[in-house]
Amino acid sequence: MSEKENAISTGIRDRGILTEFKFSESFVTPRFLTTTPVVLSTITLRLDDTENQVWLNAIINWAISAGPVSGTADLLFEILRGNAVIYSIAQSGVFLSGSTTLFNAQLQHVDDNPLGGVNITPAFVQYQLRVTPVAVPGGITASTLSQVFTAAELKPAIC
Amino acid sequence: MPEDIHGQLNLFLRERGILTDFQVSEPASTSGSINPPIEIAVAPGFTPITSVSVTINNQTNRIWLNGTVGLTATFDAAGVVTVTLQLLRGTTIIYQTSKTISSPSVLPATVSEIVHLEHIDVTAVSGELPVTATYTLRAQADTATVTSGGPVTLTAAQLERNP
Repeated sequence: MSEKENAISTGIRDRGILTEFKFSESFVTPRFLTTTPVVLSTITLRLDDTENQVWLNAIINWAISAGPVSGTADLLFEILRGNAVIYSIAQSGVFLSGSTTLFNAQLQHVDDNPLGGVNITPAFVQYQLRVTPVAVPGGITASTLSQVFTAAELKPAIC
Repeated sequence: MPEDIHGQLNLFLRERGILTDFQVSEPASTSGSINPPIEIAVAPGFTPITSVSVTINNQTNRIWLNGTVGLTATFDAAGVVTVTLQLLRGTTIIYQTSKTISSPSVLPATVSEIVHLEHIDVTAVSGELPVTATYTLRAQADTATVTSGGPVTLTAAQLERNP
């Protein structure tokens, strides 16, 4: 087979299914957590097929600075499509008095129904990365330090 | 330039995506949604968490695996529990990672933790193609105090060789 034929063959075989990628990143603004949910990042994706999936990933770095108390703080990290929670994962932060402790939370979700049954495309879908303080004891400061949130649109595989 | 020639040139010049297949197993997508929660077996046992299958159509393809699991450890006394997670291709262990979960000073307590693992399987297949490979995520703890109530996510992305 000639080089040209090889090239054509490669061109036909290649069929990447990752068709759109959006991200939101912040390393500069701590968000202090008390009792109310805090939206950390928002991504809007343009979906052009009802069969497409969205692969969502996030990493959040967060911290507890404790006064003269020891204990546990509990956070719930969530991904929302529109106003609906489609993914959540809990993480506890165990802390000792007088110390600052750092944590990492990692989220991964595949939204296989991003248009929620709506058959009109293209359509815009908004995803939010949110943290809800479930239990933050008095005498500590809990805050997020940085986060990265990604959304990749994937077509169905052609086998 | 005739249209057909122009089209062929596009095939040569444009880079095409190499991510060609993506499979996911996500039996639970929210915290606490597995009820009763999965009890993680004590060593030497293992508890299967979930599996995902990929049909591999080239020996040079790579399988990019990502797993994320929410765990809960219950402590009645001060201590540390170690959780080991493994990825298997069929019955072969291809990746292993461990995480410790420490008790707080105030007891009894329930501690939630996240485990994320990532591995690229570069020797996914041999022999005749296509081949379907099944990847399993399983877990073990050194004490009977760890459960998973969700979420559980295991993804497998098939990547062709770089152009």
